[in-house]
Amino acid sequence: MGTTLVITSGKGGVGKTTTTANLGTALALTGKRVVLVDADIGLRNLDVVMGLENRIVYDLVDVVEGFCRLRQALIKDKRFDGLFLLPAAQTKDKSAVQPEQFKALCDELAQEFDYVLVDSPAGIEQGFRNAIAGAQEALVVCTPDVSSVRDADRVIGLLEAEGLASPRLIINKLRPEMVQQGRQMGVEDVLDVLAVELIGVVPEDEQVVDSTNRGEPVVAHERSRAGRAYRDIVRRLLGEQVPFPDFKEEHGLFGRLRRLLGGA
Amino acid sequence: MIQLLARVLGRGGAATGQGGAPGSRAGGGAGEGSGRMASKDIARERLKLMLVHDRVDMEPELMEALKDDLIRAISRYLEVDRSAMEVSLHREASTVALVASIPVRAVRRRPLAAGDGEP
Repeated sequence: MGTTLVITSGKGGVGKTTTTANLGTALALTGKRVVLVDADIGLRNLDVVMGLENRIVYDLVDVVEGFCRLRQALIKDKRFDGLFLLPAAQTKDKSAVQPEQFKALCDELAQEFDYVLVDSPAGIEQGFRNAIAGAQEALVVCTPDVSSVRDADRVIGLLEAEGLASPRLIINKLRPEMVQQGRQMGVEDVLDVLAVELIGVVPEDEQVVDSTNRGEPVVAHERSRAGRAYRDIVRRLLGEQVPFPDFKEEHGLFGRLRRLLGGA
Repeated sequence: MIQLLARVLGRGGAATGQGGAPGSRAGGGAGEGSGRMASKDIARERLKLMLVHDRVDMEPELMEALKDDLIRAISRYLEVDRSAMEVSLHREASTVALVASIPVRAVRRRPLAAGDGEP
């Protein structure tokens, strides 16, 4: 029986989908069998970030409504062994699926996969309720800005009320230079107010934009800063103790040179 | 009757006022200048106050536990009427206040040992 993990945030645009795509890919690269589930019914994105948008035949709502079998709706990612996607419907709305149905779906997937990663929609309404219904663990993504951290706090409260007692936090799009200059909240500032366990810090990385344009997860790029951060999160998910890197060195002369030469 | 008032103060006007023109770069350096506060510190202070506001709708169990602890502390010095006690959190513009109204029955001559208070 696998683990169902929901990736959520409250606020939109903080990088839930990118996080889901990259953690799933990184997990698959360690040899796990992984299925990514897009819970954003009506506004599907995960297929696009994964570059699998042209391969969709059936979607999650088709499965729930009995138009196809679960197996028929799963898209196999040919680039990464053991990685699959269950796309959301683009034309239905969130009320097409109920939390109990979503939970049953996740449970069925967990029979066959080591990890079921659910990409939650923004907000705290039904789509969110669906996304968390089948989860045993939750990862909350936030960026280091006031509104995102505030929403994360609200979501953490809701998750705890639903029995997902110890959600872990990913701080995304951190800009170490700005933190050093006192112009952006740093990791400590965010943890100080949220008081949850940190599982990852993903620095802002232009390569994420490039990768998303191409529909390739950035973890596949050995030298990307964000890619490395996602791989670290996966190692922590798997129980390894991985120190949190100090991003400062990246901004010295050597870091700049390295980025110029290698695009790291 | 004791009226207890604990306030969480926000930086309120100061935080927003000092930020000056949005986007003013000079607000940058953490250590620089005495008057200007680093924008990340302003962000943190604003956030802390928001979260206090957001969390005002406290879980009833948490509120009961707070009442128990208050009674325990106060009972060392005063005999109070627990059944008539009122405790609540009030949202105001830039502060959140804990307001407790606790009827006093008697005043003790010396404090009870810690832990001896009425439950």
